[in-house]
Amino acid sequence: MLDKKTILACFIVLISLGNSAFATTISIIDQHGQPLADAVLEIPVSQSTKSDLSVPLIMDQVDKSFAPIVLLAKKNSLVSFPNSDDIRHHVYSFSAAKSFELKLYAARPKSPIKFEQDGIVVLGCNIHDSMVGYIYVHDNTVTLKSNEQGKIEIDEVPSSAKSFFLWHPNAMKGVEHRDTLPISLLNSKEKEQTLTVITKTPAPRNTFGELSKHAH
Amino acid sequence: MLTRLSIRSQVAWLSALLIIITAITLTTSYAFRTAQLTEKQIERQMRYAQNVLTQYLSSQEQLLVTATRVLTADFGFKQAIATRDNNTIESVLLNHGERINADLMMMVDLQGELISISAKEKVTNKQVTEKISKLLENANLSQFLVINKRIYQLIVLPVKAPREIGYAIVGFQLSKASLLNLKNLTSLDITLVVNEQNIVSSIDELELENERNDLSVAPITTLDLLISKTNYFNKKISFDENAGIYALLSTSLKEVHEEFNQLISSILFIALLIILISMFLSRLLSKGISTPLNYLMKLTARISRGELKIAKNEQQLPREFNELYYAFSTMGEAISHREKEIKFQAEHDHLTGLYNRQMLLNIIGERISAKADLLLASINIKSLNQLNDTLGPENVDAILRTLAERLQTYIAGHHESINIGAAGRVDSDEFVLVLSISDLHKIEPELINLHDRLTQPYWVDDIKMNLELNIGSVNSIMHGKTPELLLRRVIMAMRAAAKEKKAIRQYVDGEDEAYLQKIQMIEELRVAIHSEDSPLFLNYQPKLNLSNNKIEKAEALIRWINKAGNFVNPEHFVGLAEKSGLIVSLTHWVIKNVAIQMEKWNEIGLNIRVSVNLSAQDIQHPEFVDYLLSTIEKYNVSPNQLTLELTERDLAENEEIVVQRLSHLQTLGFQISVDDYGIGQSSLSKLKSLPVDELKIDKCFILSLEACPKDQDIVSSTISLGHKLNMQVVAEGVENKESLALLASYGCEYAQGYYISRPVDADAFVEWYNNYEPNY
Repeated sequence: MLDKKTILACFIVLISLGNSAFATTISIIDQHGQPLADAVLEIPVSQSTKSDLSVPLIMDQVDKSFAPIVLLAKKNSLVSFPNSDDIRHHVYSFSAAKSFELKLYAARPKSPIKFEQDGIVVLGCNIHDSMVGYIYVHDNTVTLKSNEQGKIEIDEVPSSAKSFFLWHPNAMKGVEHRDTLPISLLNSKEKEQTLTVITKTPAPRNTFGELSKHAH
Repeated sequence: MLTRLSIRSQVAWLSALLIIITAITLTTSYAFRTAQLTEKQIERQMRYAQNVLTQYLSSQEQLLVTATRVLTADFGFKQAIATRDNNTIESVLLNHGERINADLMMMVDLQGELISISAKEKVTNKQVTEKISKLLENANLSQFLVINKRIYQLIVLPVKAPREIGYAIVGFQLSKASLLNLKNLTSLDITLVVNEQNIVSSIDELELENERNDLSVAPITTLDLLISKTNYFNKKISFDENAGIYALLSTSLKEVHEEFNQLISSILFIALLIILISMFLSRLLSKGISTPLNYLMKLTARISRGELKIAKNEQQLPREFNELYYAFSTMGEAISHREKEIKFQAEHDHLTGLYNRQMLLNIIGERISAKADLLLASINIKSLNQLNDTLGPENVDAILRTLAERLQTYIAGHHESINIGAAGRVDSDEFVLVLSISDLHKIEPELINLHDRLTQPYWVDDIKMNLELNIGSVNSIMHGKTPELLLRRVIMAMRAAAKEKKAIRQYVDGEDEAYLQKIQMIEELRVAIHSEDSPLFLNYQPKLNLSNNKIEKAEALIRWINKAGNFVNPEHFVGLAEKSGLIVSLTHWVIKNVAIQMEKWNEIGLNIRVSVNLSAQDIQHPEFVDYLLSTIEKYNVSPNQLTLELTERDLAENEEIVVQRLSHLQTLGFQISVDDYGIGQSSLSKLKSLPVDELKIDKCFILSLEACPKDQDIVSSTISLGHKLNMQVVAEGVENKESLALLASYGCEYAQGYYISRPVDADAFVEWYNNYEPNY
């Protein structure tokens, strides 16, 4: 368990904001200092960004995993769930943002699914419990995702924004939770910034083997 | 103490004690061994049971995990939860619960709020809600939950869709049935305890109630297992220390106790049985000992009664007792033999084998009672002491034995005395022969015959010896009817024969009476000497100094008037006193009374030197000198005032001591005078060496001095002899003036006699002295 001090420390900005004109690299790490991939940084903007919503986004299933693990989708985007495996999958979501179910299918489902509501949609496969995927549905914002090294490159921080969100599927506070952080954290003069997300650390599995040890 | 008990009870006690000790030792060691084994067995059982319990709980957990996984993986369930379709959730829980036979199922959201609950036993929401958060902390783990006195093993698993959307809780109640199952596996009772309260147990409720206190886990030692009253041995296995949940493994000790009790009672029974058997055997054994002991005791009782002839043992006895019996019979024989020996020695003379005096008296008594007329002859061997000196005691003994043999032969050859004759030795040189006689006339030839036989020569080695014998005789016809009398008289006759130098002499009537009279007189004299108011008294006869016609000396003379009032002749009773040893006491009496008298005379100024007659026995007596000195000192009499008179015969006896003592007394101042000089065995050589101050010429020379010229010659020459030897001379028995004149002319110093004065008592002497006028 992490105490409050540690949690507070996680929010301390390590590097001051750089010139907005320069591109900034944000490193996302967990409390152990490990780089976190698939972290999402969302910066609300005032003016809408135009994008083509008619082309469905792809949430593939490869090798009993969703690919990508986290898919960023603008509100009202269409997402197609092709099945690249030679086995069937049963993709579903019970998330409030979008609840749906694609019953056992192979190859490509008949039609893509439209995500009308912003929020986080957790995807699962009824057949393969280990398969977890996320669709981060956002509404007209700058939304960026960290790469395998946990890095996010920001060209320009929108000047209108006062705060931003930081999300990670394994965040301690739950999959629905987003950290709201002051925008100043991103306006550092330094080229590289580090943000920490506290993730769930897997708890050790206790058994009766230990129970019997106690008894002796 | 033990030895006071009879052999039987000793054996019984001993064997009972041994058996009890054995039983106790065996029981104790067996009990320890059993306790150790039981303890090990219990330990093994406990370990096994613990393993089984762990295994059981583990498999339960596995079952729970599996069942819960199945539940949480159910898509419909997930959907129902995701959509919060509570009715559906409830129905799924119910349905699934039935499927896996779970006792408790709950659905909780991520925040720990209870969504739905399904339980076999009624559980209210309130009972669970507060415990949920704690349960969630240990998700994925098997946990224990106590609700309403029921204990559940449960598991909390998240419901993932695919991320966690809530928690499913599935639990099995640890019911009595499941504990009984475990009991079947482990053969141990299991009780689940929460906060020291028994929740559920495989032990019967009722029994549990009774044994409540027994379910403690106090350590029990090996011995406690057997002795303690507790019925259970318990071991605690903690499930959840924080919640105070643990299982108590209990093994019933009832069986162990019962087995142990059974063991003890069977050992007790066997011990008792063996004790009974041993008592019976000890009775047999003691009978085997006490019966022969009683038999032997009777035997010793017979021996003590004097039945010394012991018949050969005819009873069957143990070997030791047989030996004892044999020892007793040998002892009896030995006693009997010794008794005979003692009896013989008691009745016979040791040297000759003849009867002794006592036995002889008995025999004479028997013969007289049988109305037999007896002749007693007593035989004395003359001067046996001299023979002893010349021949030696061994040879004399041989002669005495020969004489005894001849006596026996004589009896054997005496036709009339075959069964009546007896011979005895009554003193060292005196024998007595008892024969029967029929005719007084035959006595003399008989005695002559006897004398002839006995005086035949005796041979000592090759030396021929002739014995001179004196034979005295009495017979029961003339001389008495009692054995003592006859024996005394025959010996008296024999002594008379010896004195009269006769070979054979018969007792003369009256001799015995004279003898008895003497004895009586001695006895009376003894009494007289020691009585306060003595019938003895002293007379004093003055001695006249012829040179100055003065009375300077006197002789003290003892006088006695006996009970009958008769004056006893002093020569007679002094002689008897000398023979009987009374003379010492008599002289002491004289010295004491002379001293008393002289003290009185000294006080009135009468200065007379008194002479006292002493016998040889007096001067030889070890206390005489001390007595004499202490007595005169006591009465303030000086030795110069005393003259001690002894006869020549007395001086000759034991000369060395007599001379030594007299010399000593002379130096102290006593005068020593030789009495009765001239009639004894006068020896001039002795006279020369003796410490003598005075010669006293015997009166036989003086009584008729004036008429007998021979006496005149003897006296005059004796006086001049005395003077030559520096002695004064006293003449006694002066009865006339002429004799006195002659003595004065011879130069004799002192004269004593009737012409001067008879001996008179002290008072008369003083009177005479005061009136005395020298007129010679």
